[in-house]
Amino acid sequence: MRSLKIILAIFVKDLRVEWRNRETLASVCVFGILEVFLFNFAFEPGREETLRLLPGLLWISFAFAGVLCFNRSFALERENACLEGMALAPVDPGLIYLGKMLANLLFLGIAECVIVFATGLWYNFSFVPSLKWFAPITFVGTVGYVAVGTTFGAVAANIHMREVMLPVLQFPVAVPVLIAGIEASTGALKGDPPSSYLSWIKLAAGFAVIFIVLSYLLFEYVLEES
Amino acid sequence: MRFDGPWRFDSLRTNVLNKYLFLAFSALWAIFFLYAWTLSRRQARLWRELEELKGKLGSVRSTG
Amino acid sequence: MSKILSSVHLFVTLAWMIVAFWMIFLYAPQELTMGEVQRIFYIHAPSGWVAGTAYGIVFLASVIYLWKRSPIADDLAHAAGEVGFVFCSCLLVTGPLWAKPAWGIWWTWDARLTLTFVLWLLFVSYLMLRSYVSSPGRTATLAAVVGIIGFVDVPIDYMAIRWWRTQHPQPVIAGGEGSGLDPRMFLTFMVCVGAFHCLFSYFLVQRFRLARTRRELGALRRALAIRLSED
Repeated sequence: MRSLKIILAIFVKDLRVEWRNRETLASVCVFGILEVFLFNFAFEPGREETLRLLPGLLWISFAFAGVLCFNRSFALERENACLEGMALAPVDPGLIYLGKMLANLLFLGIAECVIVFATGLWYNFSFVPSLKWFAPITFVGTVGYVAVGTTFGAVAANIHMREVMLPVLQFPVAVPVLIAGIEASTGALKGDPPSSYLSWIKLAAGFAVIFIVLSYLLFEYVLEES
Repeated sequence: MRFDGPWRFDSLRTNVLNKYLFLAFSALWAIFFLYAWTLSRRQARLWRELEELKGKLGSVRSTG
Repeated sequence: MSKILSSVHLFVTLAWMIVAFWMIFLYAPQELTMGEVQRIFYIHAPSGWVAGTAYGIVFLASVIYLWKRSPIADDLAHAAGEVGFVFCSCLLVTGPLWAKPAWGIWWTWDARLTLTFVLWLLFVSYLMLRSYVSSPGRTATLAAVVGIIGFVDVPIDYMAIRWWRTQHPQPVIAGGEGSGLDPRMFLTFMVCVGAFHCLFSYFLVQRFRLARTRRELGALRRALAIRLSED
């Protein structure tokens, strides 16, 4: 119970900080919209073409928006030595990880909604019929992605080329969840029966579980002082 | 991959293919030698610095 | 003493490599469909095995470091990471040079090649992390965390990429290392695997000693600084 309170406290703290200036949300959402905008120069959105390319484009947009999100999440903590403060608190560091992960999940989730909305609008593609499966797939995939992104965001906070290092560190590791997200989304958007992409959802879920547990165990090492 | 008896030589084709064979093996050795060379250079530089420092430490000890 | 051991190690390594190369060119039979160029396989596949071994060592050393805080483990992890990167690069260079004459294309995103590239990226990111951490005391710990996460990721990557490529079949690359190899080819292959691992171990030891020297240098610098401040 106490653990849950701590996780919630960190989560609420991040929300409160974000509410004050809405920097992260604004920049991530605008960036996402820009990505969708740029893609229209890459191909002519006929229906067939759109269906083929859309899942990949969506997940690439999610991936890069996520990078922005994770960078900011820990860049903020560096001001006023908040990270050191949290590390000194008599709290299981893994709980700090979970709290930050939930906050990142929320922010990226909001950005993803904006991206999906912009895509549906600009490419005349309705997500509504496939939403029943598309939404949970995107959620599970995002959880897995945020699980590794939060950890690497914390690691990258210690590097002086963090904006470049975060994607370099994170993308090779996130490959399975990105593939799973794209493949499952393709199936869902095409209207294929869920059984055809169930294994992808399982892969994404398994990835999320493994990396949440691993990050939870390793986070104390990421936070500790030298 | 199966074994075929006596060597067959289709000379032009062999020459073209052997170019890649040669390139691959050369690249391998080039990479290994380059790495070995950088290792020895770094080691030599560190040893030099080590000797310098030991000398400085020795002179500080004798005067201190 | 260590110089003698080092020379012996180098001698054994070179001898083994010479034997391996003799076998590649003069003992192993010519392959039926690909001809001479197939011999690249004998330097390509063993590089892959060595890259895998190297990453395994990175993982184990990282775990030991987090557990025991041993600087030896940290130096070993760094050394294995760097040498593994070298062999993984060999893999990525010899692969296309084999693919082009054999299958007409430099590259394809089939399961194995994609995974190889991901592995190479994991090495690169590991080494970049070690170079760019701003506070030196944190490098070892952060590198260990990244090493562990990366290693756990590799089998998951393998599964995902393989499923993905089953969905989207591409030109199938190679009959695989073990599939129905002529016994002479198999022997040559195993000797090459051994030779490459021997070379790997030699580079590893040299790189490890480099790291130890650097540590000694750091300790001496600190001692000198203390001395000078006392005066």
